[in-house]
Amino acid sequence: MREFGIILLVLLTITFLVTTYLLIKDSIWLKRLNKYRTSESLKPIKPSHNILQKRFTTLALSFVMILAITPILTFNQKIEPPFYVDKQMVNVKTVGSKEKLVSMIDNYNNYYYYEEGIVWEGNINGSADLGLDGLNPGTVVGNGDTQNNDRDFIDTNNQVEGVQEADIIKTDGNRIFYAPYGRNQVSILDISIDGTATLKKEIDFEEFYLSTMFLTDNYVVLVGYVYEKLERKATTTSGEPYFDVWYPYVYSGALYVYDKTTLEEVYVYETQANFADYRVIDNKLYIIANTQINLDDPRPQATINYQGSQKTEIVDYNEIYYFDENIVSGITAITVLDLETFETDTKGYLGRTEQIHVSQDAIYTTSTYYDYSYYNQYANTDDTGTFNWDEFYKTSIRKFRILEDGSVAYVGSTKVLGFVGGQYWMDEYDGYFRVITSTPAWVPNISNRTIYKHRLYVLKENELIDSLDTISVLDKGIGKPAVTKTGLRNDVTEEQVKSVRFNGPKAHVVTFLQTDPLYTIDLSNPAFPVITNAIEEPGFSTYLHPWGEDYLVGIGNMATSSGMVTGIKLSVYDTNTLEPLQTYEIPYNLNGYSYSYSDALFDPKAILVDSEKQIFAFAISTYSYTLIDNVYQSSYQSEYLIFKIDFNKEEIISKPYRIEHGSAKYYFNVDRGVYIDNVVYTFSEYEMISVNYDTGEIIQTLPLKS
Amino acid sequence: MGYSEGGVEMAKLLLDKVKDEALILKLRTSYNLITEDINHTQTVVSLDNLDENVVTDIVNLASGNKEMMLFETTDGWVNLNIYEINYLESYLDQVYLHDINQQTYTLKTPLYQLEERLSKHDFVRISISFICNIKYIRYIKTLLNQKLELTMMSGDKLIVTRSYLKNFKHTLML
Repeated sequence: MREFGIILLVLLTITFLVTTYLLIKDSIWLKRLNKYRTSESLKPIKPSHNILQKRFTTLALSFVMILAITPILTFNQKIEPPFYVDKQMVNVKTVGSKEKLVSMIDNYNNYYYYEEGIVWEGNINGSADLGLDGLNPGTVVGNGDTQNNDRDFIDTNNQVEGVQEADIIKTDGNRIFYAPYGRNQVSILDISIDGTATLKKEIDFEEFYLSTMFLTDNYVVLVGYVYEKLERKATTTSGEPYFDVWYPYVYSGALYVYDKTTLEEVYVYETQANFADYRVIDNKLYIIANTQINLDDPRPQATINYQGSQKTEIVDYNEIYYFDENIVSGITAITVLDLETFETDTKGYLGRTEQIHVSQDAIYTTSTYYDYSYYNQYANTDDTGTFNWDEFYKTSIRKFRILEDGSVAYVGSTKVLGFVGGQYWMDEYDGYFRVITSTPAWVPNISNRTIYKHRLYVLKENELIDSLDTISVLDKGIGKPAVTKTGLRNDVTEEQVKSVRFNGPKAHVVTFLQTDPLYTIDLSNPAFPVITNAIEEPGFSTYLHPWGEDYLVGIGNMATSSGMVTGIKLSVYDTNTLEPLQTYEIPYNLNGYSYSYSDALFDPKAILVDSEKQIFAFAISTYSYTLIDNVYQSSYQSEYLIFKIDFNKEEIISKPYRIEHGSAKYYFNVDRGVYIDNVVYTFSEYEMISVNYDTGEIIQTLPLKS
Repeated sequence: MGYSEGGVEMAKLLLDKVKDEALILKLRTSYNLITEDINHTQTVVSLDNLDENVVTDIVNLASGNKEMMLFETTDGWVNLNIYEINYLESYLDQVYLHDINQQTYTLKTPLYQLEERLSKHDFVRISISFICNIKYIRYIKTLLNQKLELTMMSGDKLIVTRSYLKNFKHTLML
C-alpha cells in the first residue's frame, strides 16, 4: 500500500513539474508571437481563460494531491513497524544503504578479530538452495477417519499461556505428529475415539534436517535446517593463504509447512540464517533468526516456494536498523509468517540474538557481549589490580511489541549487567519485564573459585522514547554469601543459578554449589523486590513448574552434601515453608557403572504436565555396562515415568507408573509422552506404548519404523 | 459619403468589411476613429472631421491592405485577398486553401510553390502539409513530444512538427 502511495506521489510530482515546464514554454512562445504581432502592428494576444484552464487545472490538482499524499505517507511510516506511533526513537536508526551496512560490519571485524589485511574469498553465507526435491513422499501405512474435535489433550509445556513453543511431538487430540531425534522423519498417528493409535503416514526427509514442529489449526509446520558445504578460502592482502578452509558447512534455517489433514506439502521457506528461536501466536509464526553476514549482499533473505512458484524475499536496507552502541555481529531478522495467508514480513536489526522471551504482547531478545574496555583493563593488571569484573558481561535487551494485526514493532532497548541463561530467566507481568542475570568471574585476589553476581532486574518500557527503564535491581541475596580471601562477602556468591521460574508477582530462583537454596522473591511492588523465602535441600532443581499460587514442582538432580550429583529427583515445595514437602529420588544404579539421564532436566518441553489433571511425566534413560565373559556389555534402557501430584494428599507425589521401552545396545531414548482422553501415549523411535492414566495398564504397543 | 451637423463636420466612410486587424489598429491609433461592422460585408468608419487628406489616406490604407493574388483551383481561376488566407493544407495530392471566412478552395498549385509565393507575406510552413498565416494564430501550446499546437483565430488547431520548429521560431523572431 505504501509502495503504491510512493509511486503515486512520484507520478504526481512528475506531472506537476512537466506541467510547470510546459506553461513556461507556452508563455515564451506567446511572448514571441506577441513580439511578432507588435512588429506587424497587430494587437497583442491575451490567451483566453479556456485555453489555459486545462493546464492550470492539472497544475492545481497535482499540487493539491502532492500536499495531501505526502503527510499520509509520512504518517504511515511512523506507525509502520518498527517505528511505533507516538514514540521518539533515540536508540535505533535506519541503515538505508549497502555502503553504510558494510562499513559498520568492517568496523566490527576490525574490532572483534583484531585481524587486519585478511581478505575473504567467496560467499561467506553460501546459498543453500535445495528446491523441493529434498523430500521423499513417504508411504501411507494406515487410514481411517478419526476427526473428533472434542478431545481432551495436554498441549506442549509452554512457558507462557497462548504462546506456542515448538517441540518434537505435537497433537490436536486427533492426530499425533512425532519427529524422533536424529531420525529426520515425521510419524503421523491417528487416534481413534476408543484411544487406539494407527500409523497413518511416515514422511522421510533427505536434505531437510528436521528439528522441531508447530501445529496450527490447519497446518503442521516443520522447522529445521538445510546445509551446504562451502569452499571458503582466505588470503592475506599479500596473497599468503590464511586458512585453507574454515568452517566449511553453512546451516540455514528452513520451514516446511504441511496441510494437517491431507499431509500435502503447502509452503517452503528457506533462509540464509540460523534460527535463534520461534513461537506461534494466533496462527502467526514469529521467527527470530541470526543472519550470517555476507559482504556481497548482507541483507537477510529467504526463498519461498508457494503455490507452484518460487520467489526470493530480500529485506530492504531501509528496513534494517542499527543501534549506535551495539557491536555489529550479524543481523537479527524478525519474520512474521501468517499461517493463513502465507504472507511474510521481515525486518533486520543489527546485532545477534541469543535468548528470546515471548509474551502474548511482546518479543524480548537478548544478546550478551563482552565489554573489551574492561578486558583490556584486566589484561593490564596483575592479581592485585582493580579489574572491574562485574562490568565485563553485558546483555542488550530489546523489546518488540506485537501489534493487533500481528506485526512486530520495535519499542525499546536497554543494557543490563551479566548474561541471561534462558527463556525462563525472563518474564513479563503486568507491563513489567523481569529478568535474572548472572556474571561469573575468576578473580584470584577474591577467591580461588569462580564467583558470581546474580541480579534481578525489573524493567518497564518508556512511554516517550525507545528505551526500557530500570524500575529496580535486586543485586544481593540471590545465592549464599561467598567465602572470599578477605572474608565473607554478601555481594557475591559461589553458587550458580540452576533454574528460574516466574509465577505472577513472584520469582523463584534456584542457586547451587553444594546445597540448593530455592529463593522466592516477592515482586508485587516492582520497585522493591523482596526475598521472602529460601528453601534449602541437597541437590537442585533444573526446572520449576508452578502449581497454583504457592506450590512448585521441581525436577532436578540429587547431590551429596559436598555437591556431587547422585541421581534425578522430583520435589514438591510450598514457597512459604523452609523445606521441601516431599522428594522422590531416582538414584543412579551404583552397582556396576551406570548413569541416568533425562531430557526433562534440560528441556521443559520433555515434561508432560498439567496441574488440573495432576500429571507430571517424563522419560529417563539409563546407560550401564557390565562385565560378561571378560567383555564389558553395554546397554541402554529407557522408560517413561508418570507421576500424579496431589498437594491435598499426604503422599503428594504418587509412586509412578513406569512404562519400559525395551533395551538396546546403542543409544536409545523414550522421547515424549502425550495425553489424550485419559490415555498416555509414550514414544521412542522404535515404538509407541499407550497406557491408561487411571490404572497404568498398557493398552497398546505399536511398532514404529525401525 | 459625408455630411455636417451643427457646424461640426462629421463623416462616415462605408468600406468593404475591414478584416485586417492591423488596419483597424492603425485607424484607431492614427486617426482616433471608431469602426463598426454594420453587416457581414461592410464596415462603417466614423470621422469627426471631414478632411480630404485624411479620407484619402484612409481609403488608400484600406485598399492598400488588400493584396489580391490569382490562384488556380479545380473550378478555374480565383482572385483572392492574401490577407484573408487562414492556412493552406495539402492532403493526398490536393491542396486546400482555408480563408478566414470559413471558405475552402481546392488549388491545383503544389504546396511548395505556394510557400514560395507567400513567403514574403506573413506565412510560414509549419509541417510537411501545412502553411499557416501567423497573424491568425491565437495561442501556441507546447506539446510533450517537442511539437507545438497552434490554435488559430478560427478555432482550428494545427501542429508545428519537430522538423519545422526551427523555421517557425526563426520566422517569429524576425
